Amino acid sequence: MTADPNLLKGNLELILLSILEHSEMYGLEIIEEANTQTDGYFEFKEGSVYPALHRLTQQGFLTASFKPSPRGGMPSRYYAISQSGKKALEEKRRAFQQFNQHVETLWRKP
Amino acid sequence: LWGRERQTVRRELESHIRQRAQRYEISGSSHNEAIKLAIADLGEAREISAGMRSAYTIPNTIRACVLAAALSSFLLTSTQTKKHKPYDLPVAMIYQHIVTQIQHLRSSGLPVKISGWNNPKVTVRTSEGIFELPSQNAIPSSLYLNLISVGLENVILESADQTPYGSPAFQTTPTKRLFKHKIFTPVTPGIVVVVFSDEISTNAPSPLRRGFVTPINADGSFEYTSVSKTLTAVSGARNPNRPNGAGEITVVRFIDEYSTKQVLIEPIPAVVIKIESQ
Repeated sequence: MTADPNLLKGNLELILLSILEHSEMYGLEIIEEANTQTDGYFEFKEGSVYPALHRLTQQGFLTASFKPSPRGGMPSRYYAISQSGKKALEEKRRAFQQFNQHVETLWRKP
Repeated sequence: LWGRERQTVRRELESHIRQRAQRYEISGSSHNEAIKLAIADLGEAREISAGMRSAYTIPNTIRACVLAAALSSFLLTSTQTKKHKPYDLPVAMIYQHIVTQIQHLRSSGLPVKISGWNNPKVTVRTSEGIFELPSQNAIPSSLYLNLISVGLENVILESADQTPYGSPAFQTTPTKRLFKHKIFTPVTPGIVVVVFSDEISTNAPSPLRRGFVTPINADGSFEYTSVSKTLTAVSGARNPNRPNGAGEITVVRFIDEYSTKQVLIEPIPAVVIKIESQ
């Protein structure tokens, strides 16, 4: 089962910042990491990931630089989370948890 | 999109496509097939371009539009079957053409390798080392180059004949040894001459320092004038049967005294290579 595209879209920045929280990665690596870590639940399209990465970089939440690829060939553009990105991640995480809690509250009502 | 941002987006997407393609190749796809799949994975050009537009909308709207246009342009050229001049062949077919023709060079004893996708690279191994056509960045526009070989000692690339007089356009370097990795500035707009050779000239500054070839005579000979002692001549003649006047390249190699001489032409297979500009 894969994630609802609308849910993915709505939480894309949170997911990307979460993936990059502990190590820097390049675009394809991020897509593969998201897929592997969630047993295939997150299936990202490049068409949405790259613009989001650029947006986060523009906002200062990520830094990006070209580095040699692990398998050789052309250098890859690695993304790393910045200090403001970590703060943004905390805020987004909190907001998501709150949202989740409130939805669950609604489910518990008779 | 201009300057650094344009380069960045292009490099990133190109790198992505190549890495994705690598994975497909590992799982058994051919190189061309792998590239196609990787591009298909990338999604619609419009989708990415729209996404990038939103990424760059704030604070600089103009930059965003330019980025989107550049991305769109890049992706469209990558994902669509492009019409090529003058052969009107998609990239893969040009590739096939090169691969087929390159057998002639291989049979002459030169290991020749073609790599790259929409920017084919030609690598030729000679006794002096490996010579490779410079990267796409060094090539300013859509060009037609002829790769010619006359044996183990010489590898020569020359522009197709596109001059109004039907004579070949070539340029030489004033050093004893022709440069490796050297691409010369256009002789005329749209023509770039690349010459690779491992031959060391003895008395002349360059084996191709000076030379002039007249149109080919009816009896199959042509006149060559040179001031060098060791001569390597490259010549060509306009071939009306080829589209857009691409040259029929003929190569002769001879050692002679300072002279003007009539020699017989020994045609060898020429490979017409289309180098795509981005």
